[in-house]
Amino acid sequence: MTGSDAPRLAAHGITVRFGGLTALDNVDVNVWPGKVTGLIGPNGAGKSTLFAVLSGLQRPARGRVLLSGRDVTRANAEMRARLGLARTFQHPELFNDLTVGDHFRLARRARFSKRRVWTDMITGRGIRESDPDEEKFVIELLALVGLPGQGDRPVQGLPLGISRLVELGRALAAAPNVLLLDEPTSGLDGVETGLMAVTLERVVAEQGVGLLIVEHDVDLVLSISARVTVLDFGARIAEGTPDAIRRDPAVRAAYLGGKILEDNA
Amino acid sequence: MLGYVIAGLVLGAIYAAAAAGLVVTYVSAGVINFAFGSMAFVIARFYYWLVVTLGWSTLPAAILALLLVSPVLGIGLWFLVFRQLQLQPQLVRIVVTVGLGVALPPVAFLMFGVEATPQAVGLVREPSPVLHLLGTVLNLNQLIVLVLVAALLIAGTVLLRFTTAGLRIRALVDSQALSSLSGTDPARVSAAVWAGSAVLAGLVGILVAPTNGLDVGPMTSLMASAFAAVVAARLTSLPVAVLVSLGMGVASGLVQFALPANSPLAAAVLPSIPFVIMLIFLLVYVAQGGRSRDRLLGGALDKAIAPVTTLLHAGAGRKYRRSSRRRRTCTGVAVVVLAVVLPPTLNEYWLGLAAQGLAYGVVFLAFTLVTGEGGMIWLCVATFAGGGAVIVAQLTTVLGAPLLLSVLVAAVSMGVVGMLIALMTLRLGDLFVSLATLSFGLLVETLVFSLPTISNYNAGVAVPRPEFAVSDLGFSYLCIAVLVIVGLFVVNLRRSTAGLALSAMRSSETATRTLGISVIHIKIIVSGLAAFIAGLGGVLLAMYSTTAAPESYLTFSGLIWIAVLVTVGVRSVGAAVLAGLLFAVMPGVFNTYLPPALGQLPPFLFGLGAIGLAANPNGVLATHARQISHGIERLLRRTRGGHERLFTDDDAAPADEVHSIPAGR
Repeated sequence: MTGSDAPRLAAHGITVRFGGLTALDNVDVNVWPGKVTGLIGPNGAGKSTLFAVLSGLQRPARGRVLLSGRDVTRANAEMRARLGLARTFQHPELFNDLTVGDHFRLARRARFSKRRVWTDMITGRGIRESDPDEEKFVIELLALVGLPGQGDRPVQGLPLGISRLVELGRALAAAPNVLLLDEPTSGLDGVETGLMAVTLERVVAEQGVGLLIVEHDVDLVLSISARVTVLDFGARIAEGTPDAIRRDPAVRAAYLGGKILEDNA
Repeated sequence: MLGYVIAGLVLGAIYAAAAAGLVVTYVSAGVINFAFGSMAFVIARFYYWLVVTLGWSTLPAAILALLLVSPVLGIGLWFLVFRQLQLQPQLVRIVVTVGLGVALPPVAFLMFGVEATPQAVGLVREPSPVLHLLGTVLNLNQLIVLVLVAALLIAGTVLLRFTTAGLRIRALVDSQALSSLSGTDPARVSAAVWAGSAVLAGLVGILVAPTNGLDVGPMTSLMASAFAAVVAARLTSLPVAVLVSLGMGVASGLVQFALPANSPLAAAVLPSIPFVIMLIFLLVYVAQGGRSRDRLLGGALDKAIAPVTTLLHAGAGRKYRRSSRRRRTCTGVAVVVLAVVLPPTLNEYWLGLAAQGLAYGVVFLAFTLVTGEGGMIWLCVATFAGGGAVIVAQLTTVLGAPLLLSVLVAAVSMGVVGMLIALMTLRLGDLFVSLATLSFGLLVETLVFSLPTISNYNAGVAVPRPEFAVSDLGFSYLCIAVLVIVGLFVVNLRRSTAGLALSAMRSSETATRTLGISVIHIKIIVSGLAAFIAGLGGVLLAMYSTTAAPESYLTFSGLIWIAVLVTVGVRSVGAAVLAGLLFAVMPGVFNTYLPPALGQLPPFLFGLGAIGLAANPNGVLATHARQISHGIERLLRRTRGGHERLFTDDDAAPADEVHSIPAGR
């Protein structure tokens, strides 16, 4: 285990080009255990691309990604997940044929009992009664993400807000070291946003998860983050504590004269 | 030699016409038309009827068939079928066109009769005048082919590249919704494309009928050969498709030049050429890594306004409900009890058919596994079944090996072949899997199943039944036992971790990967298991008729099997058994109780059922079964006072909310 002041996830000098467009240019970002790191920036700043690089879905042209001190730049998404990285998506990517509970079961087994993919075929565990430990885990997780008793609900047709909670639960089911959340509150109403914020704070505080959060709700990011990174046009224009970010002139310029931030300062 | 090259070019031109007909509809509508061969057959059969039965001369017959009937057929099919496929999942598109391919030939048989059609006529009656050109001989038919195809391709290219209509077609590819907003009527453009494709199909059909025979099989084979060019073109590039087609034709010509005519080697090499070319390109694409452009067409707007559909899966989410689980177990037990009690009450004829149906049920479970769970549409399940049967026949009757061991060897070897095919095609996407498996099936049919030792002049080689199941009654119990074991295996797999992972994969590959699951291994194993089961079922089928006759395992018959199965439902074990029984018993019912002219009706109905998937992606019967069970549940709930009405499907938000894009994004 690395010390608590070493970042759990670190990206150095990330550069991504799509043809002639430089989507990310020499970007650094760090995520510390037990802390929330915010990632903000206007539309098209490269936030989602950075997420794709961090989670292994997009290979950068240059730069390195370190997960718990290991160089995972060349590791694909599956390998990074096995090392404890989990993420959600801006447009929730749920498994339409599965129930809410199945999402959690699958994510947990993928991390902790990988062999069941093969052994289930022989042992007949698909037909037999389910595992009580696993059921208890699912019930607790449902309660944690604010969906108590909804484990048997099919996800197809769920409203967006609930979908985001299911995605969060699926990410947490793998007990991640690092959790990447892509706009977890967009499409959520005020109550749901509050619930989401409470859940995230609990997870970070109790499980020591390192959390990187992309959000349009700048208020939320500045209120829960320990550090904030600001991207604009693929470049990092600022990094620091929420207070420092509020005062940063480059950030204000990027956000249309800083109106949003000034109101909160 | 020049003569062989020119003959090759003529063949290549026919391939090119077929490949072009397939590519244009893929480019404009995102549909690979697996019914292309059947369309070719229907039009060629119509032309034959005009020329041979009615005695028309060839020119007016060709004009009527190609310039009037073909476009009408194309537009009609577009209106009835293809139009509905625009935003359907790829799997639905494949199955629907396969269903159409199954349903069309019976229509031709019903209209023009089922009698044999020897001496099909090309565009010019034989003996056609012979031309001397560059020191070689060219008959008029060949010249017409070359000129017509060249003219069509040039006209098509000019149309697509340089005209407003072409621009509209290309715009349609990107987004139907947006191009209709910009004042193009997508309907008219699509209809025109399908009409053009049908004309190409008709042309191909008429041209190949004299040499390859006027039947569905040869037409399907020709379409599969053209698939090689379509694959080489990555489904989209018309020029590449045409060039590769011509190349394949010339290669065939050169092979005929180099090898002695009618030698077994030439007979083996010639049909393999397209398959080898497809194999090479598949390998190249796999080596290049990444999925090829097997994409769903349509822009963001199309997706936003599309209805939410997943293939054949709705209701799967209820699987963990305890009550429903208990109910399912009860139903299962009841069915098994019924199956044990019922057979002795049937008379010999129906018992035989039922036993055969149960054997088909086992084969269909392979499809339930590979498609229902694995999400891959294999068009060569019949080949695996036939392969199993043929191996057992060879091992037992020819080599004298013990039966049980032979069955095991046969099923395992099919499993290995299945895994190899999965390995080759998986990374390329659903469409490539279907294209490659169809070609594979046809290749095995022409190369392996036709070997004298295997086909035994179409009589087949004997396959014994096990000693304890010699009677039809004993045999049906054997089939039931195998069905129960395989069925339990499939049910277990679906609810196991691997099943969850496969379900996940069908919805979102990206999200599945970020959970740390790579589904490719699971899919390969599932492919192997499915091929194993298909081989096993094929052995049972052979045991039923006590011969392994390759005629019973034609690739085209396999397409009918698929149509039957998807009509009933591809996601449940019960549906597979029901489909097997239906497939075996329905023709019996028709033969017994209806006039023989209607004998073609069952395959037509099965094909129609598969087409119905376009409107009803859950399978026609599955949907009604669900409605009925919903109705019963609602009634029960009402009698109980409605307390249990929490979190059922009815409460879920309307489907269109799923894709609604929140403001402020």
